[in-house]
Amino acid sequence: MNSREKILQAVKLAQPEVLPLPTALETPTVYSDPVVKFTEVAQAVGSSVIEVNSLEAIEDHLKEVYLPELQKKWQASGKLRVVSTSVGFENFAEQIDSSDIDPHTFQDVEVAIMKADLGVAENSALWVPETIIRVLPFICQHLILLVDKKTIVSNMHQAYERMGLGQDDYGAFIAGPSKTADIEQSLVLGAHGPRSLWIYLIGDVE
Amino acid sequence: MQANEKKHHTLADHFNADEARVDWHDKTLWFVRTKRDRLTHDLLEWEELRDTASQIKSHVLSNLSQYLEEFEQKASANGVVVHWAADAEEHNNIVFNLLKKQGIDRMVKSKSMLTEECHLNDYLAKQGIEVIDSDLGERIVQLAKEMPSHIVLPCIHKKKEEIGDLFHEHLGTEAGVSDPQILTETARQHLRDVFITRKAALTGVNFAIAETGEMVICTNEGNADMGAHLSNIHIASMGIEKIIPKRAHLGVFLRLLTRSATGQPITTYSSHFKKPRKGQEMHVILVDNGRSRQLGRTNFRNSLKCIRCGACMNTCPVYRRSGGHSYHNAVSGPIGSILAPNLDMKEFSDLPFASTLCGSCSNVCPVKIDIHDQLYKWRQELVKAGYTDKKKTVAMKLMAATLSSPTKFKLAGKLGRLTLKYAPFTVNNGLNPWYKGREMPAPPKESFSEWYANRGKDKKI
Ligand code: SF4
Repeated sequence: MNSREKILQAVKLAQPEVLPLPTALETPTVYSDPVVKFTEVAQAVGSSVIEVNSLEAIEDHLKEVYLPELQKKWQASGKLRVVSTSVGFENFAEQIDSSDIDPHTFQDVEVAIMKADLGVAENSALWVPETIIRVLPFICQHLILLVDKKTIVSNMHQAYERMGLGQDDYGAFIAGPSKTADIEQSLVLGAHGPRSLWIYLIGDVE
Repeated sequence: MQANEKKHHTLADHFNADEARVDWHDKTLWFVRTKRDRLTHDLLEWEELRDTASQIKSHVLSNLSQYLEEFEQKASANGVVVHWAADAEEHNNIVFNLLKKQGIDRMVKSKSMLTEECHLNDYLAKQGIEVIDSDLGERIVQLAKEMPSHIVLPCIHKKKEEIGDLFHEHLGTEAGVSDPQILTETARQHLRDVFITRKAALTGVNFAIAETGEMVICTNEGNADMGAHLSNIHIASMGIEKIIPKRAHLGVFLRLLTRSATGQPITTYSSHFKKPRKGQEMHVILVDNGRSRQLGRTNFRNSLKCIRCGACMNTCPVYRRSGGHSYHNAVSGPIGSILAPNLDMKEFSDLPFASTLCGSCSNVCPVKIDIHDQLYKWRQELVKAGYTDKKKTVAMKLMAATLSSPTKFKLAGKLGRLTLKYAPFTVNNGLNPWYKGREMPAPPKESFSEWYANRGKDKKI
């Protein structure tokens, strides 16, 4: 008997009579204004949130505020490598549209701009579906996620309800910049992944 | 009495030699516990969530063989290679052979308590394969040649100055530097280089979904993803109890896990791995290593519901004041004390006694495992099986007698008080503050008598 059969048989013998699956939660907390809650939690876990009404507004903000601030705060000098998997930023970001590129070549990316499918108010997690380059939201020094305000749900149950079984080969909930508190419980942002996360909440686009 | 050297009370004594450190350790973990409290009290449906999670896990355990087959089928259809390992040795062999086939002799690993349980690193080192742990806390204990002392906070027993010394020696930081910001940045640079250069990555698994064949991995640092997405071969190791039936159940478990673990609403990353990246190999190893045996032990079956949040450790007055290493097992604390005797009854016969049976663990457990009841049941089984020393057997028998007789009980109470002066650890320490914050019914009296009795004897003053 191979290990597979051995394990399955042992499990079969050991498991009790089938017990029922519970029903879904009756009334999980919902927020009257999920966007407000989302913003509050996002800031608490170290993200920055900007509300905008158009893609142009994002571009303006990126150029006029985000990049100068980034350069000042992190003392980044010279030309920063900015890449985007989201269309519309060709003016100042490298457009990534092929998954055939060796992921290692993204190790010098300073800023990555990507889209999230939905956001969750209770924990500020954003669902980032299969990206063209899986490692991109992790390997970049700073991450920017764009999300439509209308997609913000209250809690994780609603998020999975929306997502269903999903079409993605890979996907991640991302909540904040990467962090660690392994040294004496002191919180440090920027463990292995991005040092910062900026979220652009996109409102009604005319 | 050489056997005693490795027992919890002796190891706890070592830890207790430095009183200031014990106080600090105690306070740090209590701080994490209070963070958990704040987040859980905020959520009206917290208890309903715990109940639901507990019932989902009960259901999974009652139908595990079918879910394992379903997961295998779905994962295979996704292009993931599924392996089965009956024990630690077989698991380690599978990993080794996968690496050998590709001619790989260096691997990066993210946190996986299962590989600690299997002593994978040691095994691979003997085969000439270098493994680097990429979780910051795990990297630190690896540099110190130690085991993690906590399943979520691997180096919680270490002071930043000690970490600074380690980094000075191994990573070239300036002597005397102990600022967490600087140390973390140093580790970031060092491990980035590791991620970029390793062709193989091993990760643990937090949840495996039968319905989709997905594996979900939760980290704050992003290390599991960095390793996996830059590798040619990703190996995920998981215990067979990690299965959940439906994707929607993640809603329940992801809400519970990190609130319980560190008092965060969710980990920074909850990554869902379904199919390998183009050109990449993805493997999953389903490991039994005693789990099917534990499943058959009616009394201890529920321990397999554990989602490894660490809350029972943070709240445990014994853990906080004896340190994770005193449990001499990969998983320490209250839950480790239930899991370990299943792996080796003799070697870990001391662990179920390393508890006051106060029940605080059961009260914080997000999947409502009756931890303290199971510890009590282990004591009885271990005594019956003859794995405790004579003195303990006598104590247990005496216990049964005293409980049924009020006069004897009073006498025992007096005797108990007498032993106090020989057990400074139990009296003159931080056990008391714990009363203030705990949320639970009164502890069973016999547990304290037993506890005192054991302490007194072990001290042998
Ligand atoms: S036993 Fe419960 S509290 Fe302890 S680690 Fe497991 S899930 Fe968390």
